[in-house]
Amino acid sequence: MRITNNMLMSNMMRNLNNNLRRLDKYQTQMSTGKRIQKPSDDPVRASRALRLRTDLSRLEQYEKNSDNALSWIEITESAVAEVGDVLGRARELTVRAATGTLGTDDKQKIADEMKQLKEQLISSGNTNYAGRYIFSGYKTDSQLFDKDGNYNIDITSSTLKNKPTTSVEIGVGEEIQVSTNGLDIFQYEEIDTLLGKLPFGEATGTAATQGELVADSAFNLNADFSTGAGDAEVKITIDGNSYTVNNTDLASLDGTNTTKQDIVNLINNAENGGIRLRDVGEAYINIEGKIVIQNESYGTGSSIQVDYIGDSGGGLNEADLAAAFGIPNGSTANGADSIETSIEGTETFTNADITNEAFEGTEFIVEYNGEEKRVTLGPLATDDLGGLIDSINAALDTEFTPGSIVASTVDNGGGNFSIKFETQNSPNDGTKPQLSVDVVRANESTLLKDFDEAIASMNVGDEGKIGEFLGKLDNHINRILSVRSDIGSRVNRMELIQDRIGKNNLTYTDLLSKNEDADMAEVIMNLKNQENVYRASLSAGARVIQPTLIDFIR
Amino acid sequence: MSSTFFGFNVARSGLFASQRALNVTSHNIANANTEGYSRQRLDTTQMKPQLLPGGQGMMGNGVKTENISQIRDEFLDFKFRGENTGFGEWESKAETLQTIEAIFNEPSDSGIRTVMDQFFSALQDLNESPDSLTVRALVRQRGIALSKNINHMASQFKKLQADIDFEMRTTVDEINGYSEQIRKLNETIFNAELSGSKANDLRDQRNLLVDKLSKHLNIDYFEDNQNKFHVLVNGKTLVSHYRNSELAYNQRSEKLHPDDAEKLHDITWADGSDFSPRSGTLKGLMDMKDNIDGADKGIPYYMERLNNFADVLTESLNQVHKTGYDLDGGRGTNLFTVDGMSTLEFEDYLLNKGLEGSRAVDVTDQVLNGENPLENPLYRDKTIKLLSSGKYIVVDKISASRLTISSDVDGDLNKIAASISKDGLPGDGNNALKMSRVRDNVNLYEWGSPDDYVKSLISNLGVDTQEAIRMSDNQTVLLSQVDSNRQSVSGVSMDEEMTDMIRFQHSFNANARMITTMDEMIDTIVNRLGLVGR
Repeated sequence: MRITNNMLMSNMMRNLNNNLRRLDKYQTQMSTGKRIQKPSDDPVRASRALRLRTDLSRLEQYEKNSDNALSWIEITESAVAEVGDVLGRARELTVRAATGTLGTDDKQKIADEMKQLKEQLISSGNTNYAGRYIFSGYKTDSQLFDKDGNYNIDITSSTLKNKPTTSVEIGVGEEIQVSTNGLDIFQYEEIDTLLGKLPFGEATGTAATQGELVADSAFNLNADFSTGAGDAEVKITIDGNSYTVNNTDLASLDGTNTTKQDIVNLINNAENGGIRLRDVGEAYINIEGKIVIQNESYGTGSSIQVDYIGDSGGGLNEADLAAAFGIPNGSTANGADSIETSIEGTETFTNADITNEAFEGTEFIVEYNGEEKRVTLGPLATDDLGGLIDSINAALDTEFTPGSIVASTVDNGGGNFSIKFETQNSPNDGTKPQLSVDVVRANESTLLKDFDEAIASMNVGDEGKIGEFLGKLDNHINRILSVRSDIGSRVNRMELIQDRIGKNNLTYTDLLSKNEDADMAEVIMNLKNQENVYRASLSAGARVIQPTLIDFIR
Repeated sequence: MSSTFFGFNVARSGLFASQRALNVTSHNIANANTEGYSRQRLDTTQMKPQLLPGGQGMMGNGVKTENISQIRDEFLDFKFRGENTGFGEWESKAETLQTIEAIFNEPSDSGIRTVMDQFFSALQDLNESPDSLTVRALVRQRGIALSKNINHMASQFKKLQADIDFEMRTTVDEINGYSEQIRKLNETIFNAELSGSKANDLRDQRNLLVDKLSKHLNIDYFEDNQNKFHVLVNGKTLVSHYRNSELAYNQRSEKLHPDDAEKLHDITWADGSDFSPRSGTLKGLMDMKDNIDGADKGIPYYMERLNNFADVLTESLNQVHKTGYDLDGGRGTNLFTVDGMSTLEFEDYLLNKGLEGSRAVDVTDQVLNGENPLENPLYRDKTIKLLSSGKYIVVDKISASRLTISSDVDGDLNKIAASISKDGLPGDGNNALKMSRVRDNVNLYEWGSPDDYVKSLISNLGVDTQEAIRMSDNQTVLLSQVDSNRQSVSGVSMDEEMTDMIRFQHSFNANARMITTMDEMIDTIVNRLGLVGR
């Protein structure tokens, strides 16, 4: 093969370039410390790098979550421990007060200390962590107790059904409960167990719809109305008023350049004594090319009808128009009214259950179409279901538009009735009737109430009552112990999890590093090696390109 | 008997031939570095010999210069051009794909994966402290960062597309320039060669132009039996002897894909007929600019993937968000909308303009009956969204470039619906937890969870880019191999030319020497002959 000078040059340049490129690659690996810079360097490694980084960042989040959760649980633990200590002290005092040897004076002194202990319980119940009250369930911005020891938050049927607890994620799909509900510690005193039978819950009805007429087939954009339109009419009747499509506009469509917008304008401009169709509704063409006419109003009264009148001169007849528009002559469409909603109790009452005493003053929390009100029952006229329903309806009517929410009884046979709340006369305006009802079930803590009773009995020196309290107190102490052991087991679990997260963190960091970090020893070796190759090629090149025959001709 | 001066003629022919050969050598040396130059040779032959009478044989008459020819292998030219076309295509693809890699900026600590991580982490923080305004602000900021990052990528894609469009137009101009020059050279060469001699240097120039053209387009070329030169693209003539056709670019009246950059161009022949090259730079650029799927997928594919990512992720986050309750006790709004719209505006927009700029289609009944309206071919590449009113509608996927956080949330931190129930306010963060679970939903995309989606997209891109770079590298090797062969045949070797120079110089000297010898011979005859006895 002939070798020319330019070949030598270009080969040398190419090889030098290749060498430099490799040198640059190792140089980049060296300075970034990474084996890959772009996905194309190694797609598999790159996607693994993405996964590992995601895993690591999630682990970091879990670590943060578990740290927070642990401090929350620890605060809870110490508050519950405090309650336990208070109850222990109360037990000592009560045992002393129960002995007959103590005079009333001394018992009153013990009562004074018991009062202090009660205050202490209230303050434990109102423990907060980072500005949030830990025992108040989700009402973290409210104290659990007011200063008298009554519940400051609503204990309603739905809170009793789903005791609010906060959980955090400490692994993929793995949660741990962080909060402890105050009700488990302090318990609640039902106002009347009958209230638990009252219906509660949320319900949503269906919104009213607009009258909407959809054509059977697509509008024929090639239809020619320019001849034979004569006095043909297209009439669209909306809520009883007929809107007539302008005959001149119709005749201007000759099927050559008709656009969908032309048709939409044609129909929207249909007129009835100065009022246009677009003022009371809207026509458009859907993706299938079919005309859709929509009435602005809602409900069954919202109607649309399309009629054609053929040209008296024998031009376009009704069938021609119907074929072009894709809507049969005389087609009608109506909207639908909104469908009301109701909440029915699952428990039943008999007439004998109902007493004024049980229900007077009962508080309902009712929300109707976004408006929340507290409804308090007045006295029952008669101690039967009729009386209760009347009282509920009277209370509802004072807070909401009369007749919009109606309570009634449902006869379940055998003298058993359940109670039902139902929305009525909801507006047909496209909004959904929505109702939620809840019943306030308690506002006193059993523990604190027992304390109050004990204090009262100590003040009067009633040893029998004090002895009874001792029994109740033991139950409370046992319950607190079980709550504490539950919390303790969660602390243990958290510690195990933290340990695991720490280990995983290490493993993943290691994997990430192995996956994408450059092996420095190897890179340095490669770099030095490549540098040598580059130097060698430079010096070889310098030798090769210099001499030609010219150098040797005299 | 030959003439006395016959020898002068023979020597003179040698003298002239050597001189001419030296000139050719000099031309070679002068053009040693001229791009596209092929070395030339002086072809010489014996002059017609003189018949000596009486069967004495033929007497040589000296040397005749036949022709100046160039040394060129047309098969190597053909191979070079074929490889050059492939090189042009892969080179432009590799460059574009590497830019796309840079846009995705993965693996790194500032790409889409990281902002997504941060957003979901913020939701976890919100689960713990749903009543904290600081954490709510963090969630909002992370949401904004996520949408901005997606916007930024989308706008970079658009810019890249516009850049490639510009490059494509420049290439078209270049091609038109080449074809015009080839046409002019055709005229010059044809006229010059009417006498039958070869216009070597002009042919070199034309060959160089064809080389350059071959990088941009898949061309066929031939010289017909009348020495007329033609260049064809896909069987249509680009240059035909004295005529050439031009390519034209026309601004599109309608976008090919809804998210394309503005004012892109299509390439056609100047007469308006369709033009679609099979290979070359132009094909590479056009593929990258317009292809949404297939093996040659380009920017629109990545844009579509990004839209799909943004659409599905935000829609599922929105749906969870809407089931929750905000700090004021209201139902959750949309967390993400487009163009900074509020939920109300967004739903109104979807309903009235969401499907290809017009009304969305209500498919509530079908969805509730368990059917999948997207099976309708009319709704290809569309998506179903659930409105607050409970209506399911078919709409376009939202565009990544328009994604923003909704103005409800942007304007009021309380609007972040962290609570799952109204009773749960303000301490219930379960809805935030539910939102953060969206990232674990492996059924969210056909490629799995959002993390899987990003991972798959990046590794797909990596594989495609790797292939383009490898192909481009391979083509470079092939091309330089063929070019080397070509240089071996046609290139000027200084050693060879120097040898030739000395050869021809010697030959010139020897011929001159012959003349001196002749001169001496005649001197002998004229001046010294017949002086016997003087």
